[in-house]
Amino acid sequence: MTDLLPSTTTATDLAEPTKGRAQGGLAFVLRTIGGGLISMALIVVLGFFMFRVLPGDPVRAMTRDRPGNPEQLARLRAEFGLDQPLPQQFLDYLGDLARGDLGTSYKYSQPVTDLILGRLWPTVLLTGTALVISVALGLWLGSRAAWRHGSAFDRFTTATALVLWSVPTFWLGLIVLMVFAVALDLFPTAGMTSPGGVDGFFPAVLDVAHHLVLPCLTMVAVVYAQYLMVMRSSLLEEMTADYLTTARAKGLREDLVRRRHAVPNALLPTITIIFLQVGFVVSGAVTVETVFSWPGLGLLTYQALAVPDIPLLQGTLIALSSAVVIMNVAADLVYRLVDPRVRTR
Amino acid sequence: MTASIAWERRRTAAARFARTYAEQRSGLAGLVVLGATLVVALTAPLYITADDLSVITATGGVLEPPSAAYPLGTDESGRSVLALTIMGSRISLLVGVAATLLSVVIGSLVGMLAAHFGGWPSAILMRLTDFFLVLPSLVLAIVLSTVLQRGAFTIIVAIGVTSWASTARLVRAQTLAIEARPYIERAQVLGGGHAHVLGKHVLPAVLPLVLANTTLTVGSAIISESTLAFLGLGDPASVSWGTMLKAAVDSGAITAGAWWYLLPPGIAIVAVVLGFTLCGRALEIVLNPALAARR
Amino acid sequence: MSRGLRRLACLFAAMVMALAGGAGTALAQPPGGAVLRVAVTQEIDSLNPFVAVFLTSTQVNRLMYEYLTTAGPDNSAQPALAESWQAAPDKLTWTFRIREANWSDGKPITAKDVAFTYNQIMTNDAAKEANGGAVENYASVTATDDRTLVIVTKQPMASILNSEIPIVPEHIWASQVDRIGTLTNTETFPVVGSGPYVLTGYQEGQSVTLQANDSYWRGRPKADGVQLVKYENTDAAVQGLRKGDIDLVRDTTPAQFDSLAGDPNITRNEGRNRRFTELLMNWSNPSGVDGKPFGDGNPALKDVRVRRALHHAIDVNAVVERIKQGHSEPGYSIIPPVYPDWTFTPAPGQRRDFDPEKAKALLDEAGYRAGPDGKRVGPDGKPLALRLVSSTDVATNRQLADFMVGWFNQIGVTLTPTFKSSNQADDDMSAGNFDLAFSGWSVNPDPDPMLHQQTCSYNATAQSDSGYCNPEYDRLYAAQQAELDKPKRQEIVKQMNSLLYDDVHAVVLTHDRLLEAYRSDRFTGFVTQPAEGGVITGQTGYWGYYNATPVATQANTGGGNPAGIIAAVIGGVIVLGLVAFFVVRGRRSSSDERE
Repeated sequence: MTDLLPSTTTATDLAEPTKGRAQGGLAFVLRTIGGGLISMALIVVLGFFMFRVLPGDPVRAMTRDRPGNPEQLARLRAEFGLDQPLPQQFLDYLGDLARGDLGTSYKYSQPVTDLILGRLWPTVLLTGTALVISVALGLWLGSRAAWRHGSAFDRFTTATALVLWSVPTFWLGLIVLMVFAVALDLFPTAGMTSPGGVDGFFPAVLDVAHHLVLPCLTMVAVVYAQYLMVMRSSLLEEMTADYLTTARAKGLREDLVRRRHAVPNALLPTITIIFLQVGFVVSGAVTVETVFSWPGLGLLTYQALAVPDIPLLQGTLIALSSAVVIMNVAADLVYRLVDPRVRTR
Repeated sequence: MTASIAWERRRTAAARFARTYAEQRSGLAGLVVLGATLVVALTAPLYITADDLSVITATGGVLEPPSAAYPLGTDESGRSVLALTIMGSRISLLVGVAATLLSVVIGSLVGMLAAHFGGWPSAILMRLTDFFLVLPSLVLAIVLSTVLQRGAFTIIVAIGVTSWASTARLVRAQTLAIEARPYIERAQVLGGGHAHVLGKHVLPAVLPLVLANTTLTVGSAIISESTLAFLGLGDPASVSWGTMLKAAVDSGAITAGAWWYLLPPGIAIVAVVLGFTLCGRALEIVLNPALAARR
Repeated sequence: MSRGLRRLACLFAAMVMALAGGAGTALAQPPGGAVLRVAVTQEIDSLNPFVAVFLTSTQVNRLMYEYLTTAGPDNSAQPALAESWQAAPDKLTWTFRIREANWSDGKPITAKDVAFTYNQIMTNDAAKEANGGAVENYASVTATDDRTLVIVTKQPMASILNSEIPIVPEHIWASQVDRIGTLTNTETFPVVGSGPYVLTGYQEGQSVTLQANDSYWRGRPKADGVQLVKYENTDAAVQGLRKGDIDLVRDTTPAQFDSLAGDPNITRNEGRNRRFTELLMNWSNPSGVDGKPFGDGNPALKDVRVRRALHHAIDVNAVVERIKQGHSEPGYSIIPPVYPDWTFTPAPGQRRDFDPEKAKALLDEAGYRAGPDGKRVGPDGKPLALRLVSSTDVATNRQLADFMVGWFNQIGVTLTPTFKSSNQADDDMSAGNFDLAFSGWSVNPDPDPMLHQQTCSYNATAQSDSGYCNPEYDRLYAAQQAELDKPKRQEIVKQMNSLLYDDVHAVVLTHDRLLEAYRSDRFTGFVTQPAEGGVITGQTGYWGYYNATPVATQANTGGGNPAGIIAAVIGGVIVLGLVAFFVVRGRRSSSDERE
């Protein structure tokens, strides 16, 4: 794929699978991991300094609407280390981070690490499910649309994808919520489980699935469009390649040409972009979880906003960004393993 | 004489550009949508008075469904949702365009510098670009808007500084391609400094592509604006599509079934973002006809 | 093409419905018995009574632990763990007689438990967080025997019977005093307590479960338990109430409240609440701390005529009617009218009503004359422009700010609202960096803490209100604090209120009603506070939850959710369709090849 051309989704141009091709295997692995580590370090530094320029006294937030006295406030401030000079605070922060300690939430008076770990699983469930469905749907529809380039099917799927790409995630969520949960009363309006819980393993799984439908639907609707467009354009590009003509000339059926040759080759850049755009999915999780009160990391981020709960916000920023960086490093490494053009070197 | 020849050449180029663009039906549709929105936004003060937007002079009931007097119903203060949606276009467009400009300026600068200088400055810049590219930009924008003073300016900055990475990548690739051309080398040999090469040769060549990219970016900037406003990080004192939706949710419009308050701002966002996306796609094809095969 | 479309639709629907279908049957069943399920939107910070400060957390603590004395449905101090008490003639020594009652684990409650709890708060820094302020004036607390508690105060203390301190069992907590500030009180269940309900379960961010306390001294509550269920927003909570997922919802918006009218299974309760909303006017500039002004308040606000003019520009009735949609009442005092003994209504000649003309006249008199564009210009030649600080966490603030801008514009004053996170807004207010600001407080039955906040000593602290400082007011405050004779104290408090009103320390806008609704097909008998037209939740007591009575044997409303069953059926059909689709697809691929 060429470096030059932006796609509709501004995504195709972002994938640079050429990275590291000329290097030896080990050098490539080291370089990729090194790059990931630098990114992580940047996240850590960013996580600290962005929040220390914040004006305001977080301690006050904890004592709102209640009688308190200056000594009490000073004691709390000392407890959170806010009376230390900035460089000292940064060193403490690094030391704590190394021990997996992200500080104590102002709002919940609990370790941020515990809060994040507690909210991790719902986010993985939601984004994971949505991602799998989006990828399957996007790749499938995208390859069909490309293969029948210019057909009504192609025009319809492309148009739908473009419209959905233009929809703000939260607004779609609100509309879905109003129609399917409030007006039609088919699905729960909020949360991951029914209030009070459900007895038995299987009913509990079903209960979660029932709650998962609307948030997942919303995420899929916004995310799949992108994969569709990318898959479609990379397949269209593959289709003009000479080897397909050769394959056809060999007498291979059209269907086989598509399945054995064109699609696998078009898949590679697409999958790279899918991983590159994980950050986009994570951003979507914040709004979807907020709209549907899904108790994940995105909602936790939102809940930290109003106060603002600095350690918590810092924690979720670090957790979400690190997850994205790690996934990208993994994608780079896997790509290297999978891409036949790279492997043969 | 020569001036008129150059002018003539530009005129034909523009005509060719317009003709190719006009062949893109969806691009034309996008242009029409954007044009209409722009006209509505710019002329809004002519037919919407301060009294229409002031809560103390509002005459409608609370969350009234659409009627002859209020074609799109009323909001929680009895103001016309139609008037608010029209006025909201101004802030939404302003923030979207301004944030995009900021993003494109940063992105182009980083991209051009990285490509032009190479070596370790390039390595650092591209490392930074990669970093911002993968980061969940909304989360970063949330953090920025929390940290800074609330207002339209903060939203512009928050969106601008978190969304420049893809432009940087794009511009870098384009700059590399252009600088490989012989005439750049010639310019350098003839003693053109970095500023000369970048300003006189690279920038004009990169600009069309940047323009197409900008058009696409405005759409996502408008979406980001509304999302930040929905999360409560916007400036509630100004009317934008995002703050309208936030107000609708806060006043319980979902439970009350006040669809007339939720739909118009959302549909307006979708229409405008779609308009920008279609225009951007059409521009890309005009600038790079090879793409047409892929569309 | 049509086949592709059909498949697209099919696949999409299949994925959605397959997930939903089977799940539709899974409905909520609360843990055994008639459990009152309450939707809460606020977070729980901690259930440790020494730490908890959030409203929801302190509400749960009220159900778990008795106080020495508690506010009754009429808001007067009533016997709780103390069955009687008397003050010595020195007005400093109080003797409480502790009643014969048991903890939920069967051990007797004694005066030693009370002394233990109070002394922890007085001496252990880690235990001060939640209630440290309430014991500041205590010199000593001692148990002279199992039934007798003696409290000696430093100064006479009229409000001693309204000290809201949860009493914990010494035999449970004595071994944990070294980590008293970090306990969450959810380490082991059930949590031994003395209140009407016992804490039996807690899921962070999801629910709090309490069971009826069989050994409660007033008698076991009629409900078998209370469960607080966390909702992120009241929209979802109102939906939950409609569906029967929960039984009680609080603090809805007017639009949500109105949408619940007409549902035969739901009863709405518009409760007069103990809160007020106010527009602060920055006093920090004239009053200062130790005589030194602080903050950056607009000097124009030093002039009482300007403050009065601003008050006259505000149409409080419009706030009640347009923003609160009638679910509110105009306010005059920082002591809400639910406390008739302490609240205040200005005399007819004293009252300032909505009157823009009068406001303009007052501004003219103060030297702020209207320029050619109608904008007021001060004696210094500068236009009169004010800033309004507002916190984003109160949703109606945005609307309120819109109205203020309009009203002030009418009298030629420019108002610029800025919205901040609650934390940053609080900072601005306590530092005096504002001109006008929205604020509001919940007020306890005894007016002392609220009145205290208006004294000079609170300036530039987190609890500071408008930065008001008036030595005459401070003198009256000290007098009422030491006055144990109630009618005399009432007279002093009235003078204080009147002084605040005349000085325009702030504009008290409204006392908003709390909008609650409950499933009357499941529970009735809620006792509100105040008893007439009061609130069920958010009380300074447990009367609402304690008296909730299950409606006879009308089993759970769940079980027959028709939508769930329909979804299940449709889901099943679609799953079958999906299977069929893939089977057919397998056969068709040969025909695809010919395309």
